[in-house]
Parts: sequence; C-alpha cells; structure tokens
Amino acid sequence: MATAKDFARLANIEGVSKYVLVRNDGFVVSENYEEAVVLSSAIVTTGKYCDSLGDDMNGPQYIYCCIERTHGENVLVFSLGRYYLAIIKHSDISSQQLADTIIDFLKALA
Amino acid sequence: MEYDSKLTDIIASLPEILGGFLYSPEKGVYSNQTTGLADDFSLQQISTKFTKITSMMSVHFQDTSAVRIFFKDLVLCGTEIDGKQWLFLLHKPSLSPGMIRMTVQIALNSAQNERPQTVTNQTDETRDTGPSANSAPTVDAPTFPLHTGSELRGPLLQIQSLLAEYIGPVAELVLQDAVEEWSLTSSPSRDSFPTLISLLEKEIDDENDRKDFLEKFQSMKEV
Repeated sequence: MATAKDFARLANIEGVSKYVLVRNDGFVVSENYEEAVVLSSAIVTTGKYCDSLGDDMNGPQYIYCCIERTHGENVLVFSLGRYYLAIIKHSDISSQQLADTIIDFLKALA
Repeated sequence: MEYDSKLTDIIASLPEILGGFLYSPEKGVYSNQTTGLADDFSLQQISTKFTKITSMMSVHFQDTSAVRIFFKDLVLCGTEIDGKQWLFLLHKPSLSPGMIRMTVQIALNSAQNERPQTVTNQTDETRDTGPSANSAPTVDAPTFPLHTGSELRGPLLQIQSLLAEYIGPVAELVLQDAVEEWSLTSSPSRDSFPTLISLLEKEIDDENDRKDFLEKFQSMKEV
C-alpha cells in the first residue's frame, strides 16, 4: 500500500512544481505547497464533483481535471478513491504530457 | 446576442467536437446540441458543478483562464461568455486546447463584429471577473502595439510571420490574443518581447518546432 513517503517522490517528477494529496475529509496527507491547507477543500470538492460528472454524462470514467492558468502553471486534479491529488505544474511542460507521467506514477504505486 | 447558431458553427467546424450546450444561471441549460449524450437535467447538474469548480479555483488561482475535465475518450470544457452565460463543449482528447480556444474565439469574434463597435475601457475589475474567451478587440482594446503607426507593429508582424511557419494562418489571431494579454500584464516594448514570446511558444505543440521557433526569434536581430 502506498504511503505518504511514496507520494513525496512526486516532487521529483520533471514538470511538477507543487503537489497536494488530500483525504476526502479535507485532511492534507502529503504536500510540498505552502498553501496546501487553504487549497485542500477546493481540491476535495473539485475531485468529488468530477467523479460524479461521469455519472451525469452516462458513465465515462473521470481521469483528471485541468485548471488552466494564464501563465501555464496549470493545476491538475486526480481522483484516487478516498484521496485526491492536485499537481501544480511548471509552465514549460504540457498538461497532457505531465498528466500521462502522473498516471504512470500512480499506476506504479497501486 | 444569440449564441445558439454560433454553437452550431463551432460544432460543425471541427469533427473532433462531439457536441455542446449553453447555460446561464438565470435560464439554466439551453441549446442542447449534445445529440443525446445527456438530457437537460443532467446537463444542468454538469453546468452547476462545473461553474462551482471554476469559481472555487478562481478564488485561489486568480489567473484561472479555463477549466477542462478529461474523461476516457471525452473532454468537457466550458467558457464564460458575456459574463453571464457559459458555452460548454464536448470533444475528443486529440483536439488541442489551443485549437479549441481559437475556434471558439473566431466564432465569438465574428458574432461581435456583427454588432456596432463601441469604445470600452477594460479595467482590472472587469478583467478579473472570471474566465472568458470573449476577448474581441474593441476600439480601445490593448492590441495597440499592432495598430498602424505603432513602432512595435513591424517587429510584431515579423514575429507573426515566424509563428505562422509553425501553426499556420491562425498565427494572426494567436498573436492578437497574446499581444492583448501581453499589454495587460506587461508594458509593451522591445524589452518585454520575451514575455510575449513565452505566451506564443505555448501555442506550438511540437517540442522541436517550439525550440526552432525560439532559436529563430533569437536570431531576428532586427526585431
């Protein structure tokens, strides 16, 4: 089973600027972002809404949500069952490329 | 303004766009063009959740420009238009964000051009009310570096030509959009060209092309 220490390796992935792993009750499990606690409720709500959007659209599986920002430091939100993971990316990497890397990372942890 | 026909145009313009719909908090969902993918009630739920996600994230990240939700084989994206209506599109993941943005902007700009042009001053307050693709230039729009007589017009057109080598004729619109953003966030001058270039390079998907673009820009001594 993956531990908080395993998730700390997210910070070493190229393109990852910050990460926040939050439990579905808002408790921050692992992070390297100074505003993680402030952001945690928005991450959980985003994750929960996105999970349920799949049902609203007759079943497609939710993969991730991308909050695009003016200067490219986009925020990616992934759903991991009882946990939600937010990644703030560096501006010089594409969201899709980083999302693929994160998905591979998460698969390796499972 | 009637956006129903614009939505139809957008859906028809790219085969990767599977459908779309319009939403406003007052009217709810209207112009459902999702070809049975979801009924109006479901779309209402989707719209409500999507707009809440956007407003929550915009509180923390005030430079939020768009939200895109990826499902298996499907992407949902929404754009706020006119500050009170939302245009939602469902498209295949193969369609790049830049292409979607451009298609929506072209459709909305053509709608704007059908109306009498007015002089407006965009303030920080109106700019920060949330994501919007409705950035058609008005008489006072901050695309002035591109106006005839601006000393920056020549170099900017050279940059546009260079950009067109990689992304084609949409370079004109991409440049206008980037110049507008550049003008709002920087003081437009030759010294701040790197800021503009950093906006433009994001529109080039291929990494090698992007590097090539940056190298050629560096070698444009006359710019």
